[in-house]
Amino acid sequence: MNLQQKVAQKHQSPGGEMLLVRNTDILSTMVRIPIVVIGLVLVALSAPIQQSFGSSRTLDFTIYPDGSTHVFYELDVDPLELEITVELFGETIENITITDEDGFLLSNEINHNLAVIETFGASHISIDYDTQDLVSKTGKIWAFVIDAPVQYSLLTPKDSVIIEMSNFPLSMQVENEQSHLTLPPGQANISYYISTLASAQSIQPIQEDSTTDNSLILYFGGIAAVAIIAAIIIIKRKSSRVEPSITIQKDEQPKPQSLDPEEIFKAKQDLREDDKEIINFISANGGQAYESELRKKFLQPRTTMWRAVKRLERQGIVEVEKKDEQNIVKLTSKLEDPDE
Amino acid sequence: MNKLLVFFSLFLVASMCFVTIPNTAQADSQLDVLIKITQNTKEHLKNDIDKLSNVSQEVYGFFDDGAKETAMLIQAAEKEDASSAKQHFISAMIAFKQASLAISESESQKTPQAATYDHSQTIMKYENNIKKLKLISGKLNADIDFEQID
Repeated sequence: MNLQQKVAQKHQSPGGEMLLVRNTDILSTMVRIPIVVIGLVLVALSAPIQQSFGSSRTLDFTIYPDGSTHVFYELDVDPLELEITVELFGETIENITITDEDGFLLSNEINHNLAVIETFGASHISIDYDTQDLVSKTGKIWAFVIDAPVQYSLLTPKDSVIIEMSNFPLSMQVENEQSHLTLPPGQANISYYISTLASAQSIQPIQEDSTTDNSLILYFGGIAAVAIIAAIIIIKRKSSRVEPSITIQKDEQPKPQSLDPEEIFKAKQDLREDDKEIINFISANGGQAYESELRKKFLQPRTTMWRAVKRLERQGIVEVEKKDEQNIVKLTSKLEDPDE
Repeated sequence: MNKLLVFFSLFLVASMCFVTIPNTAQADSQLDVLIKITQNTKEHLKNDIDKLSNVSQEVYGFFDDGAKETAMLIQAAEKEDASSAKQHFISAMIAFKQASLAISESESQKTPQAATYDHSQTIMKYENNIKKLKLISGKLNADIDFEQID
């Protein structure tokens, strides 16, 4: 509120009746870029965190040629909970091991397809087991049936030929003549048969799915694109800052030519050396220069340069004009007689 | 300082936009996956049919239906018509399954063929279980002798 009042006072008209507040002032006062940046950082950070929460469970099925299935199930648990109950896939559970994030075995009790696991202190558990219940066989056709609560991966046996799929896979890779499918959550019925001819025949293998590579390329391409855009913006900003001096020079052309420094020095022999340098610089710059440019050129503080400009102005050598809230110092076209 | 902040802001905005891109890319490649699965099934079935003698007309009929649906799936995928492509995928797989069942039935009626599986994968399963046991044994300092199994 105080800041707003100050801005208003700063741009109050001489009459004191109207309040003129520039848009740039509002933006610079009210919109704090660092706050915006911090906000963006938080939002950007929250996106991957949200994703990681969404994919905190891993579920992998590996089907073997004998019809057994190895299940690997990873899930996050509350370390303050004494125990949790996990529903397993299948009722005949073999070779089960349940470990925490450090690889230590966790006590558990299996009752049909339910595992009661003592998870106190563990935040992440891994369940490994084999089951014969997920795959059935009719003739030479095998059928894998599952109702998964989360997205899962499925590795089919070597030389298996998929002939039925009730759910659409998200991705597919072929590793060592085994199809590695990623499937969405939900009911799925996948039928296949083991081709005895497959090994003998040189069937064209399915090319590896390049989804992951594409996303990486897109990601890095995006970063590069942003960098290029940012570079272009910065370059444009720089060039737009140089433009005023060019436009000033163009504006100056129809105006009468400014005085030659030598003429000034002859007429004003008592000029200080530093003032002569300023005059030379302004003359070389097309007869005019921003006061800020002079400060940068001669490495002078604002007040020192202001005094120097005022000194030259009093002697009729330069005149000062306001443009875009900056002082343009111009060499006069005609020296005024100090006696006048 | 402001330049840096502007640059950083642009980078953050862009990175947030790119979070959603992998899902889109995945959706596009899903149709390719469906084509690969059906083409692979078609190739294997074709080889199976070629190797068999006295294949019934029914099997050829199912196979032809599957092949047609595969061609239509490819066309739909080229047009980026996902719903139509999925429909053709289901139809193709149904036809191929029927062809496989018909082949399986005719095979079982003639000579009951002994299944010749690749047992290396089953052995690998047991090896993985042993590896797992070794890891747990190491964690618990159980000092179990696995030499005999090795």
